[in-house]
Amino acid sequence: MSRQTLERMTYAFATGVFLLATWYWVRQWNSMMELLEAAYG
Amino acid sequence: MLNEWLLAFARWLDGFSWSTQLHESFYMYAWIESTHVLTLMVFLGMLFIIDLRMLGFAFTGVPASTIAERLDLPMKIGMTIMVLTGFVLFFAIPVRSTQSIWFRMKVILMIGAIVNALIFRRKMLAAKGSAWDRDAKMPGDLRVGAGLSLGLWSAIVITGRTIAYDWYDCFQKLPYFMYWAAGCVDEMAALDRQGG
Amino acid sequence: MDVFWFFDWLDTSLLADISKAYGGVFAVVQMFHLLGLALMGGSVLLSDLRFLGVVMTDVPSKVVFDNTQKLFTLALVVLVLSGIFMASAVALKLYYNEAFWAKMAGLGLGILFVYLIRKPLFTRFDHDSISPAAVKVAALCSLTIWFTVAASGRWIGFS
Repeated sequence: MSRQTLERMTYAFATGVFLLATWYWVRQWNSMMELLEAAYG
Repeated sequence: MLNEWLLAFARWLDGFSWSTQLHESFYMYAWIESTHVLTLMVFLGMLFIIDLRMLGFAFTGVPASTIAERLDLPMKIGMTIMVLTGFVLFFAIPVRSTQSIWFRMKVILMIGAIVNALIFRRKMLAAKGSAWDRDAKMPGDLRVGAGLSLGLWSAIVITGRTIAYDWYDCFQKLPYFMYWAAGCVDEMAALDRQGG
Repeated sequence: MDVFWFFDWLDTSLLADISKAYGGVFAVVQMFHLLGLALMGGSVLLSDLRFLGVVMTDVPSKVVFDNTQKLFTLALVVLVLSGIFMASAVALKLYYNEAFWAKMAGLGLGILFVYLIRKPLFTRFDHDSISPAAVKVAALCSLTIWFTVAASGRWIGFS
């Protein structure tokens, strides 16, 4: 694979990873907050 | 005597409402514990790379003192967070930790690791500009220091992990020596009464 | 694709007999898992922070990458092997644990990223010829993946 192809793959892969990670951590945070609310009101 | 003092100190810490709140909190304890374990990657990660360089297993093309100097700051940042979270974790569960044989072994091993690190650092600083700074393998005494560092920290990791197990907690039936080593003052007194 | 059969098998395998019966063996294997974590964390942090221009800026990034990549592969092998042993002790529980699957997804993505993109890019090409933006994006991507893998891994025990 050429350098340009690998660079483009890096951008594409990283964009996917950043979106997934944001979704995952926001979701984790929300579920933690829900549990906290259920525990302490 | 020392066992009594340590227990009295732990019970005094246990008296703070903060300590109980931390222990019983929903997430705080888990977060602090996770931070403590994840900073392992920063502190031990940097430390291991320095040790591996001294032993000739990594970065052999870069002068040893360069590796040691450049990784010093990230290592210290990791160490600071580990020490702080470590104290908080102890504060959250003071009595059980004080009476844990694993925790006691961990503290002794850490003292050993600190002494080793201080000696090692002195020699490392002297290495700068020396003829063997660029060698793949360091002179014998530095290699011994690096090997000891790897060994001691591995042992610290395992004793740290086993604190969570209750195999040798005071409520277990243990020989007198183990009660003494773990600082189970009341259980020792009970055995004394039986014997006497 | 349901992989329940694998966890069902692992739960009753010889490995599980050992990991469930001997707490001491489990603790030692876990020590290797933690040491592997330190080694992987160290090599990931060092190489990515070098790419971001934070540490070891006076050492060529090629040198830092080549050295840390070897340590990374070693750490990955240690982590996967010790991880399978640890998983055998609680195989069925893990199958229903969300943090575990998050970690596995992250691990899969991480392995793909490292060996399909990151390693070829930084091994085959002169680092000066690679676009600085791509270098930094690759470093951030790697940090994001491995932080998520480690953090969700720790969270398995709490959830």
